[in-house]
Amino acid sequence: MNIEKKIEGNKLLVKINGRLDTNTSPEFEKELKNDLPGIKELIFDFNDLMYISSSGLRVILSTEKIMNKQGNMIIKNVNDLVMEVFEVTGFIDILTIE
Amino acid sequence: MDKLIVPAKTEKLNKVLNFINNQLKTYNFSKKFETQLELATEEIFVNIANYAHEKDSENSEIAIYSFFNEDYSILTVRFVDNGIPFNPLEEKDPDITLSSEMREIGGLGIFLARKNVDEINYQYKKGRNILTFKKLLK
Repeated sequence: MNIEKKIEGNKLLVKINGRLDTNTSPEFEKELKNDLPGIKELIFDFNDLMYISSSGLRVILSTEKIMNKQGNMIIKNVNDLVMEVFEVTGFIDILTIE
Repeated sequence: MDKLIVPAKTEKLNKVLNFINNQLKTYNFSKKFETQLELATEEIFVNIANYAHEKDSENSEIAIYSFFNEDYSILTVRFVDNGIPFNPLEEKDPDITLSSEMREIGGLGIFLARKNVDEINYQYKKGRNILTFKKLLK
């Protein structure tokens, strides 16, 4: 997994490349936690996210909860395989997916 | 039937996924089937490693068996381990209709595993946890 981050003022753009699974999600969470304070707009680009398991969903949900309090979170470019996981778990109804 | 034995540690996940995928290479499954299979395998393996085994225990292992029945197009994957009796299928399904504020973080692993296989069952036999799932090639 590779994470690219871009901060512009209080806007954070995060692009993930690879897989969010049991072994990679903790690093993803750590990377996010450092930059979230003060962020009002969080945008995830999932174009190159090929796989997500429950450990990745856990980070997404906890981040959504944080962003609900301090601004908003948008997920872009979700592919079919990841979208199916969002559908099955009801995440499609609680996330803002564009 | 192919078999792989690994220490009951989540760091072995990639080895387990490679084992499952390698065996199926010749059959040319769809990417969707492969992803669903990886999801079920990851969630079950990680659950067993985390809950049926003490952390850093030296001699706890998980054996994984995989068999594809070509006549019926059914893939069977079985996890056998010598940990404490633990039935992952007893876990209650999460309420997936709640708002993000109300939803609990976690508890989606076994739910996802169930959703991505056609049949799943657990037995405790002769001191071993045996979890088997079947997946139909559609």
